[in-house]
Amino acid sequence: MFRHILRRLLLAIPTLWAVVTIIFLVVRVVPGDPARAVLGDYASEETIAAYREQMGLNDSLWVQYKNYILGLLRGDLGDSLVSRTPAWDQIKSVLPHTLELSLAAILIALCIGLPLGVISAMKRNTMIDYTTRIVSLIGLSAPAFYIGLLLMYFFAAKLGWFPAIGAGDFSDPVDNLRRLVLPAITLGMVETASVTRMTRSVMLNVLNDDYVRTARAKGLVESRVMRDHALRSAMVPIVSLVGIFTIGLIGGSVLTEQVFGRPGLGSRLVGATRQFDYNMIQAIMVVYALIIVIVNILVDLIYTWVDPRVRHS
Amino acid sequence: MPISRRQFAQLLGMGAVGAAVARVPAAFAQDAATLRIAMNTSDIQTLDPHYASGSQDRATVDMIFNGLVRYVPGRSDAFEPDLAEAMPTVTVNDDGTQSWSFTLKSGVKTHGVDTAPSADLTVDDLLFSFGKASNADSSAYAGDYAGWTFAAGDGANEFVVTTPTALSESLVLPKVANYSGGYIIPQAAYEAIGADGFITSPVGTGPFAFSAHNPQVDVQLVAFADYFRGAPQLAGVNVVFQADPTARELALQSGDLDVIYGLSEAAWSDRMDALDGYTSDVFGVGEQVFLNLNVEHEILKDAKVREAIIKAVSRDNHLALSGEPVAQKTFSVVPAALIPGGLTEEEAEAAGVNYQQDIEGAKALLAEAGYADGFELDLVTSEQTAYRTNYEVLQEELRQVGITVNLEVVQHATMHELIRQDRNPITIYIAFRPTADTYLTQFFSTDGGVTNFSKFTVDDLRDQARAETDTEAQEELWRQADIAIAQAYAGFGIMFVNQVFVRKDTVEYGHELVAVVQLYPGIDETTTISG
Amino acid sequence: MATATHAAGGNTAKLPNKQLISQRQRAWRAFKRNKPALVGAVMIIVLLLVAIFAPLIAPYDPLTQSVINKFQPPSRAHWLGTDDYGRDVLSRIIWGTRVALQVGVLSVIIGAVIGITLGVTAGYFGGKIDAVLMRIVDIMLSFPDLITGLLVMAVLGAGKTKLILAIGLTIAPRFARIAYGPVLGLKEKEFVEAARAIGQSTPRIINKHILPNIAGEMIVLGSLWTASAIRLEASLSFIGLGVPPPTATWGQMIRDGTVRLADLPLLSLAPGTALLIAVFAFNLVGDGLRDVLDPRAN
Repeated sequence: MFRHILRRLLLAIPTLWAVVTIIFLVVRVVPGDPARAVLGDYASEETIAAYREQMGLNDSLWVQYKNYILGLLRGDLGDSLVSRTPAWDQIKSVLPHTLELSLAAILIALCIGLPLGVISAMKRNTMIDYTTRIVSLIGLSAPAFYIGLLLMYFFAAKLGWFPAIGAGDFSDPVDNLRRLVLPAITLGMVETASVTRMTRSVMLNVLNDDYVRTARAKGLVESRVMRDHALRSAMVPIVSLVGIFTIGLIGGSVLTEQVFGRPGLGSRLVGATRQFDYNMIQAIMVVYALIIVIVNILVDLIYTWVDPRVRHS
Repeated sequence: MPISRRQFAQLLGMGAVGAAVARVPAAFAQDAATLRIAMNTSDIQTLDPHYASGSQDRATVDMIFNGLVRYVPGRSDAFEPDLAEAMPTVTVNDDGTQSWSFTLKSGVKTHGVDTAPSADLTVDDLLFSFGKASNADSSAYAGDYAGWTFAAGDGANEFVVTTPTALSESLVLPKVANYSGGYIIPQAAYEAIGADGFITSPVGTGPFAFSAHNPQVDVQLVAFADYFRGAPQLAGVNVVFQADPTARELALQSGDLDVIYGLSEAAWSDRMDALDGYTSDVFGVGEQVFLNLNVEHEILKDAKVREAIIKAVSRDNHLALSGEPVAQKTFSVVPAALIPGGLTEEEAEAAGVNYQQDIEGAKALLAEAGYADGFELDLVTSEQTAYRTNYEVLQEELRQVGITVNLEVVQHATMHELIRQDRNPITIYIAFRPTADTYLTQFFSTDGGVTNFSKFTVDDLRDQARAETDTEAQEELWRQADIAIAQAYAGFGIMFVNQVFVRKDTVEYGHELVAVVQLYPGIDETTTISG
Repeated sequence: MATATHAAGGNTAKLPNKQLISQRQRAWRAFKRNKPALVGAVMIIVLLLVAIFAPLIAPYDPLTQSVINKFQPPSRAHWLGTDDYGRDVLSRIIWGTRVALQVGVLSVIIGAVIGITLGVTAGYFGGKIDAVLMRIVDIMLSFPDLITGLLVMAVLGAGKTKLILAIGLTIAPRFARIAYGPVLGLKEKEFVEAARAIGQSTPRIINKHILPNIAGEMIVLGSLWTASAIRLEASLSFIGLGVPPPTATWGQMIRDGTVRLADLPLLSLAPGTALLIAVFAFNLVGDGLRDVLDPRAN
């Protein structure tokens, strides 16, 4: 097991390198100049040139790339071109907010979506099934920013139950949680719909599977069939799904974070893209890629655990 | 927010959980008398005042720094002494240069930080600050001070600014005022913090001192008790970043904010104003919206085509995007209503350059120019509402006369990059500039360089105006330049769009709001929140 | 997917024509019995008709502005009122159907073709191919939806085709990941091993035994992502990178409408409802197809 993890981690190195290199090139292909973004439209060409020189943007692509990779090898993610503070410091300060939001959304999605999906599959083509499917479809159709604004309209502006914007300090857990509720529901709603639908679909598949049929034919009690056979088989695709959702959520939090004025990795990335803060974009993408590598390793490990048929060569 | 809850949490030991993330001294962060103002952006760019250009940056540095003189609070057309004891005395020297002599107030304290404790502001600080502001390596506004020199005067606390030629007050005062390069940075603090550190932790002399920056959330300022005009009435100011207008509006109504940057739209402003407990303020300075037509473009080089384009445009259409009084028409590239040197409607009419929409006339002109079937133009626009909406209206106006505009929406900074590479044969520009000279220099002179989008220049008239010390004669020269630009169909003023900010009724800024060049309502030691 | 599987099966297996037809007929009969799926199919047909005949149905030119008459409330002349440029909202929603269908369907097709090819190839062959391909998928997955869209569109420039491509590239690794997992299990199954033992060619095994077994999942995913693609258009519009103006798109309309959420909710609710209907229809049909195509369900 340990060797397997180690192997996956080693395999992740070329992945990370590729991500870093692609991003390094892509951000520089996009027309736009970090100096212009920082200095504004009033700045003269002379000022822009001076700024580019100071930030090393006039170096050849190769020199910039070499410096960047050498920095990474030393564990240095580089300094933001805008604030000129270490990129990692900013990521460190926003990451907990993103993790908190994603975790809350996944919890909501799993707690509501899994049972709904299972029930829906078992009571297929009944009113319960139809209602579940229609409601989850509505959740799927509304863009996150729209749900967020509607929630904010009713529960913050009209009813005043929750604050409209901001994330709250971790030192004040009550305030922090109050500010987490609306964004977590916003993000969780879309994911709940996905989880419900996929769980239902996977369960239907499994219920039709030969060995479940056999178990039923053998006269096993329905609840036992579900527990011992169906649910266990359904776990494989569901685990895979949760893996993808985790990744998707951490990125998908962009709009939710923006609407609710929350700091976070996603909104920081959009901000950096707007400012052409190359170093910041690169640093965030490295962190993203790392998170994804870790989540994928976890998913594969859980695979092996729930489905012994899967053997890693 | 009640402090008791925080203390309660800390009693339970929960405070330790997030101690690493907490950055702000609790006592300041949540004080009841802290004013929370939301700006239309997702973060600051820089709080070094000599680089600040976004409105969120300009607003924030204005609360932290002072100039030698300042715009009278709430106004853009009058100055009064700020750090200087009085308005400057002017002498013209034998060599044609001109000296402006200021006396620094004594006892002005700088904000203190660990590495540079609070101290009296000195003439050396002034020398340092203008030295920094006039150097392209340390300022975005160095160009404003080309040829200017700065020196300590003979008298105590005397500071002398020398300009290479005699200039009128209207050209000199904005550059030594609380705006752009005119903000005074204390040398010791700047050197202790360093150029890079100063971007996110500035130190000045203003009513509020920088306390914390939470990326993408807010900048927190605290009252500076030793402010030379007296301690502020507010405990502090939180400049909150929220780019979504609906979220700002809802957060104001939920009580999370006290003041918000609004929509530049009259109907919206009226609706907010009608809400119980809120007041919407519409004030200057407006940002001028004007067209630049590239006279060297392969199709637009024909003056008939440019005339046709301008005759396809209706100021009423563009004006309706914001509605009066948020927006008001302008009749030349220099907005007469905002600064001296622009054309009024009557003046434009008299000069024969008050062009009106004339679809048939435009089509006829295009036919004469050999484009009876129209042509296609590729234009880029910023995603920002002000640009996008005006370009979309222009697109439809040109469609009416047979010109197809393929509009590409790009990020704001990308648009600024592309238009400087002459990507747009027709460039809509939206900006406030403090003087007619700045508009003409930046957009219609050879010195403008890449921002001379039209490739049409009025260098001579601009130079004559610059050398003219008689105010009226100077303004007349500027107006002649405006007319020349209009006659060449190289530039076309459409309107200016005012600022709209909504505040709770309990907020009083402490001054009448007419126009503020820093693009926010102006918050200082006199601002209060009651109740 | 369905036709591809059948056609390939028909060619290589030299199945009697009669059997192929009966298979299709069985599928059609099963589909017809599925009421929700039929409702969905009818809705999609209606949407298609609206898209095709938009110029005839729309009461106004969707581009004609009258800024002075902006934000008009619903009236007999403008059933859903006018937008921020004084354009007829109903006409823009009708024209927006075209873009929604194009973006939703085309981007999912692009994403599915790329993604399933990657996932199945990696899962089936294993070893180095698996390692390399799934690394590529991991790389693609490490870009969040919006960011892929944002970066691709920033590099290529804006435009409907580029938007479709950008969304397709976003979807592809998701298809790959979902296809990959089941293939790992399937290739160890008895019937696949049996097929290998009797010397069936790899493409044939993939077509006959692997693809049909993951088709259900893929179609459910496809229906989900058609919805998501239409929604992603709205999200990209929200950060200012949708289909360039003046083209009417639901996403852009919702974005512009939310600014007036408090006083003119119809401006965002109306296109939002159109979006809901389209997403709903595709999901109903997706579910129905899943039931029909699942070999074990019949």
